[in-house]
Amino acid sequence: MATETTTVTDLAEAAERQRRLELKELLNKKYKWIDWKWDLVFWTTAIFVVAGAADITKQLFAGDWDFWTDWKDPQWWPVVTAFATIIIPSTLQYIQWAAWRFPTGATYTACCLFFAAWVGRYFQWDLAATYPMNFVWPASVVCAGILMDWTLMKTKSFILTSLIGAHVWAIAVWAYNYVPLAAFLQPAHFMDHVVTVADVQGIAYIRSQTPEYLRLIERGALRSFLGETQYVSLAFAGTAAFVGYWIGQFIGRYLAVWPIRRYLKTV
Amino acid sequence: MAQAQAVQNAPRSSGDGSMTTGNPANPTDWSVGWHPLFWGCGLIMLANVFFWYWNYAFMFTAGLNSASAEFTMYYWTLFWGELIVLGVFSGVWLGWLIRNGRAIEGQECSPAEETRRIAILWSLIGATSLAIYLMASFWPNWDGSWHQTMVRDTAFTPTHIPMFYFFFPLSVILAVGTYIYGRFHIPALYGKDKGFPWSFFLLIGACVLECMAVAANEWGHSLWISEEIFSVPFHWPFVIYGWLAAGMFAVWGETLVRMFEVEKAEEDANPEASLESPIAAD
Amino acid sequence: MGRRFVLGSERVNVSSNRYEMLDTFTLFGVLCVILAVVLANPPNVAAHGEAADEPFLKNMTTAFFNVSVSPTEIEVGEPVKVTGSVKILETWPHTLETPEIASIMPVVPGPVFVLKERFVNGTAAIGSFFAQKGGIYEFEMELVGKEPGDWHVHPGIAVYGTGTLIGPGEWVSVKPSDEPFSFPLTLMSGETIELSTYGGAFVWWWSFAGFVLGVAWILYWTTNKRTVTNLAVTVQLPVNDDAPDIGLITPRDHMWMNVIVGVTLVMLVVGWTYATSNAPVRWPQQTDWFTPEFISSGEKMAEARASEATYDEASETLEMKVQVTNVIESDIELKQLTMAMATFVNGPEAEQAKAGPSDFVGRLEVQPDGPIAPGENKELTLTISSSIFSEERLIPTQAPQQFIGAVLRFENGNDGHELVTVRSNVVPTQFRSTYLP
Repeated sequence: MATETTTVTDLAEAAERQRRLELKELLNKKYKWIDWKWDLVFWTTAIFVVAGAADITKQLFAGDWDFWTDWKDPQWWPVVTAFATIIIPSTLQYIQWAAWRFPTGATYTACCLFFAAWVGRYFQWDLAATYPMNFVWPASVVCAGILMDWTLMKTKSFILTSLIGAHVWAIAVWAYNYVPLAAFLQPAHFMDHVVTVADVQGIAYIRSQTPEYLRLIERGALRSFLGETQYVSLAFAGTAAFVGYWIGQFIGRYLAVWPIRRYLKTV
Repeated sequence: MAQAQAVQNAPRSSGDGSMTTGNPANPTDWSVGWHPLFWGCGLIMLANVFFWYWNYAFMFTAGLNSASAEFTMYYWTLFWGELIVLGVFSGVWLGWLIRNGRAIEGQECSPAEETRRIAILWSLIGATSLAIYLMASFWPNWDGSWHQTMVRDTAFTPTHIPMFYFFFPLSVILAVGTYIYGRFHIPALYGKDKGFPWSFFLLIGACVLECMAVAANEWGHSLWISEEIFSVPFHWPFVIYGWLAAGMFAVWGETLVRMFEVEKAEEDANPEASLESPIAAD
Repeated sequence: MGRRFVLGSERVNVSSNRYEMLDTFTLFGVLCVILAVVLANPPNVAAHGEAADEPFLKNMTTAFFNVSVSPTEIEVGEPVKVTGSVKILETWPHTLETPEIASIMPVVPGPVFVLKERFVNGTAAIGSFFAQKGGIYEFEMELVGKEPGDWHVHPGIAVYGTGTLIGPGEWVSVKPSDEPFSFPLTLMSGETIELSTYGGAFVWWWSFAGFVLGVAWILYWTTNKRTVTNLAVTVQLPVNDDAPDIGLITPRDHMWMNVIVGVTLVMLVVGWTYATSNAPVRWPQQTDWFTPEFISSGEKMAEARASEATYDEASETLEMKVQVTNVIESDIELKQLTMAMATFVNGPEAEQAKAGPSDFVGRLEVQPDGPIAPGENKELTLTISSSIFSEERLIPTQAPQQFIGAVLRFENGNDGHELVTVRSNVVPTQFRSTYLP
């Protein structure tokens, strides 16, 4: 009986080894028509839809915090940015891992977003409306994308990536963008107040339709935080990113992959 | 019949003598299957550069007051002009696609010809992708900066006019046109007997709902939020509808799977001409 | 086959091709000429979208008076003062949120000026303030020219939930200067920075460096491996199988990705160290909302109630009847009526010139004119003819709130004054039939 079981197991293993050898052969198969141009066309044309999706998601979920240095506060900015920016990278991470087995989706989306955001800020905010770039620079999420893709590559699990990677994402987005922001948080004397350089930009560069009272700057009581708002916000940003990650997964799984070769109604 | 069709549609020969008569010489040459990608993207960028220049030149001089005579001359003219252009373009292009499509409906095509058609579909999807970027990122950025210069204008501003009334409907036309192309030219995937594909349902739905969200957005602005807050909840439908454009990836996915089938059919039909030659893995 | 068509008065026969070419060229030429004319003659309008606002949003909400924008010709880097007052009217429409928080700001086409100073009722205002119906807010702002051009400069008051309400504007011509625009700012550390460019290059290069790492990551996968054909393999594997034996993700891939992640982390540490040593003292952004000192509407001297008003659209004439009672011991006189951003003066041109930017000032005719004696009750007929009404769409002619609000300024002979808010139903003199809503 034991021998029989062993034989069946051996046969199954041998079949599986054979199947994987065939898959290896298939991986390296040269097709008659599917050449490198298909790869190039896919990667280049997808840039636009990915950039558009990532940028509109960021702009309409967290745009106000991203547009101006004086909105990049310790309480709200880390949370809304982490949530808004992780959604589409998560989608692409699923698509590119599931389809090509590339841990590239988050980084790819982050690079597309970098392109879209800087084009928008430079041509539309700086050149067209004369807001200086040092006031309207966009947050970059490329570093966070690399770390999240690396997490997926190591864990091979979307659940673990959502638990670990989303928190890594939240901290990396904040930390990476805090580096250029730091200089704008220095105190200066302006209009009989001690304010930050970012505040001066917000006051001086006139925004006729974004009055100061719209800005959410550490609103609320901030009770018992002992000045630790930043750290509490970062922890919550991880939670928000976790939620955003699974929204992104939903898009990838059910709006991008599930519909493949499915039809609404057979006529 | 299939041969005749393939010959009829055969592009310029690439000079590769190994191809059989009746099959396009190389359906995936840049100048064969992919050329609509360059034309399509070129025309869209040309339109974008035109609007871009127009706004640089006139938005602060004629675009600040939609009740003014200057606005009528520079921006209402532009608005009606773009609607006419879009109307004519959609009528001509979609009509041409349907007419040509009906002419070939029911005819079989060779694997090479189907490959060319799938490359064309990818090209049209690429052009749609560019239009979606322009409507979802390029112009919304400008809309954001523009609103800072205004105390609030109507639904028709120098940034809304290209964005909401040109690129939004353009994306619908391109997505619908791409589906119509697939419906007639790639029957194995999008033929009438298959039903309506979820992939295009989502993609077209995204573009159509974005247009509808314009109305919802402007109506919302008539009730609340006279200041410009980008992240207000009634802007969120633009995002959620936009996510439906993920259907574009389903189009890529299902056409790729079809390409594997096409390659297999070609291998089965011409085993000796197959270029299959495994290479060593690293 | 030839075609015949008329070119001027001459009948011409041309070939079909030539006809089509000529036609195309003619059309193209005409379009070019139109485009050239359009491009060569850009207009310059003075507005910020406020004309599209509903009339009640302007005349029932606020009244701007004593506004001054000066000087009106400067060079880049030179200051312009914007001063004046705005009253939040007691007639505030019920369709808007009650005014509670407000912010005074210049309204210009983007940051073509920078705002250097702002006082509201004598207090330096970096942010917003608590406001209320009936409140009067005196403002003083100093702008500095940043971009050369002719710019229309208005004061504005943003009220939470209502948006920015605009005051009267003035053209300011900003000429280029020999010196480029400069915005020096002294930090608390004593260092002076140039705000226009400060930190900008670092932001770009820092962000770009991260982008380069991202591109390196993408290029590694896309140039070393094929992409779309992987699908044939991945569809046959569980999603958590990275298949190193098949060659999907190999140990070599892991090694190079570890390198890129290592570089990323090193970059973060180096960047953080640089940023925190470069800016060792950092503050949270500051916010300051305050309650401005009270400013009185003036000594109580008149009771006024508007009884009716008519508006003639053809002649742009508003006529309003007001019952006025003098409640003090000396004569009083109605000198001004302010509606939204426009002020109408019962006085000679010299007095009109002092009332605000000339495009927003007009003549107020009062019948019977002259002083109102102590205790006297008089019905005054106020008549104003002005193109401002139509240009700024101040008077409702077919609106759900067919009302106007205005502030009357009464003066006595002892330099005393009182501002009294009135509200009246307004009825058009002509009702037009329309096909469209």
